[in-house]
Amino acid sequence: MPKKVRMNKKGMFLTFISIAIIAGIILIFNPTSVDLKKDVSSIKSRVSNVNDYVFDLENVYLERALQASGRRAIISLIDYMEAETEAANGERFLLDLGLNFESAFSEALVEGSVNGEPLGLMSGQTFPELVDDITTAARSAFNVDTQFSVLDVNDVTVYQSSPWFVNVDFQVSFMVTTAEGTASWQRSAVITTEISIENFEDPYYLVKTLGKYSNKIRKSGVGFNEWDVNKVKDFITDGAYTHFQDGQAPSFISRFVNDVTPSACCGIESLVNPNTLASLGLASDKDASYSDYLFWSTVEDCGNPLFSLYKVNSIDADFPNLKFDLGHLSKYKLTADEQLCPPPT
Amino acid sequence: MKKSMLLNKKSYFFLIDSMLALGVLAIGAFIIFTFYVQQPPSASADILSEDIMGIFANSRISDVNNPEIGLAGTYWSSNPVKTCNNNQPIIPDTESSLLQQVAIFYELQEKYSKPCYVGVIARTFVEKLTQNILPAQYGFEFWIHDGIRSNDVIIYPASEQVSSKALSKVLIPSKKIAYGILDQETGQVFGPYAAEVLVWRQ
Repeated sequence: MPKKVRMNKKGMFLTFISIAIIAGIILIFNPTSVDLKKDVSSIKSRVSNVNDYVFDLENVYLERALQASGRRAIISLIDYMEAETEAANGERFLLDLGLNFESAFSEALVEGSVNGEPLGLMSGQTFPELVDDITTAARSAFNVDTQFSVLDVNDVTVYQSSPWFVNVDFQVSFMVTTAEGTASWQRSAVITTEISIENFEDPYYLVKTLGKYSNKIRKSGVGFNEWDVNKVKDFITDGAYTHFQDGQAPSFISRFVNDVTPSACCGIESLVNPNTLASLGLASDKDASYSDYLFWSTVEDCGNPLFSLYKVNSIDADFPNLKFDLGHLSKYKLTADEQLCPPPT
Repeated sequence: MKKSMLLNKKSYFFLIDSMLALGVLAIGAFIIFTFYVQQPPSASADILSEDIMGIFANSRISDVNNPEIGLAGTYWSSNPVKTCNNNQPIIPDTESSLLQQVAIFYELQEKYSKPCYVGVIARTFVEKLTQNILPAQYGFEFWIHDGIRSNDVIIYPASEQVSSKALSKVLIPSKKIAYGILDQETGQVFGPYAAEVLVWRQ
């Protein structure tokens, strides 16, 4: 009997020892002493913010900066041509100034000048300057350093693939590094933007009239098969522009260099308003088609004109002397009332 | 007889011993699992903060289905708006994100020195956009940090909630740069401003 009691006491000791061991294990592995989750949210938030910034820089901010700076560059070029024309009292297209559109645009966009002459409108608004503003804001907001490779005029490509937009591509490379240097992002991309040509002054009008006739580009809402006399009258009054699929008109870019060769993708044209010409003291009765690119580019010779010229009485009543060539009569769905040049025999 | 009684007593000890052991295991398991159960308030604030900034940065006014502040909303032609905007209703820019729209109001405030563009219009705009998004137990602030003018402006609410933020264990900021074109005709830009959304559990 005493032996059994001794054995039972031993069992209880063993039980207490096992409880103590388990309690010890629990205390040792207690997870509250090391909380790895404590700072995860703030770290995740910071990394996420910087990652979003890199994405937005490549896809949003640079595109906006390029569009804004590009728009100003085009306005600056138009102003520059107008000023040069008025100063010389003679036509000064970019070509006359020894420039083509792409080189002049690139210089204005990147360096804020044309032919080395500073452009007032581009002051603080060149693409590199706008990019600097963004990187400064990013340094303050995200504590990151954004380094761009040199933004050079040779990295710019400008062209048109649709009548109403100028496309600008800019090849850039940049690296974003956190202030602590713990993470970095390297990107090389072509930033692409489309600049609407609406509301720009038509440089062709300005230069051809020595800065007198200002016509802002506004897209007509009339479809190619919707033209009639009234819509043509509104079209002339508004000084609006249209694109004909099979047209022979030059593109917006070509208008900077006095190039009236047809642009199949991007030709735009308007009808010169003889009333506006008269009000500006300019010759309003010319033996030429009043489609803008023909009006100033064809030599007047009524006896042997480049195109036969016609009068539409209902339009002539409101816009005296306005003449159409046969091709445009057809495009505007008009019927001629009288052939003016060459005079019918 | 004597032997069987001894055996019965032994089995009682074994039974009690096994129950004690089970109890130890159960208590141990309970303690261990309760250590790992945690309330995740910071994770919610984190998600909310990014979600709210995401809504502002990625949505346009045309995406907002709200009779007051949607594209043709009544608020844009209401008296407070007209009073601030030279008796003219505001036509929101369909191409701008909600974040850009707030930044445009800030730009207009600075351009025309009219605090009502932020104090009335932008504040109401942010308030109405977020009023049904954020659970009541969360605090929220919307800031614009203007590095160009060295100006930090609280858009919403009217004043900084210092005490509420101080009591919070975790405060999650979400930042984006607000940048865009103010005037499409001239290419005039606004910003870049750092827009910041702060969310915390109250």
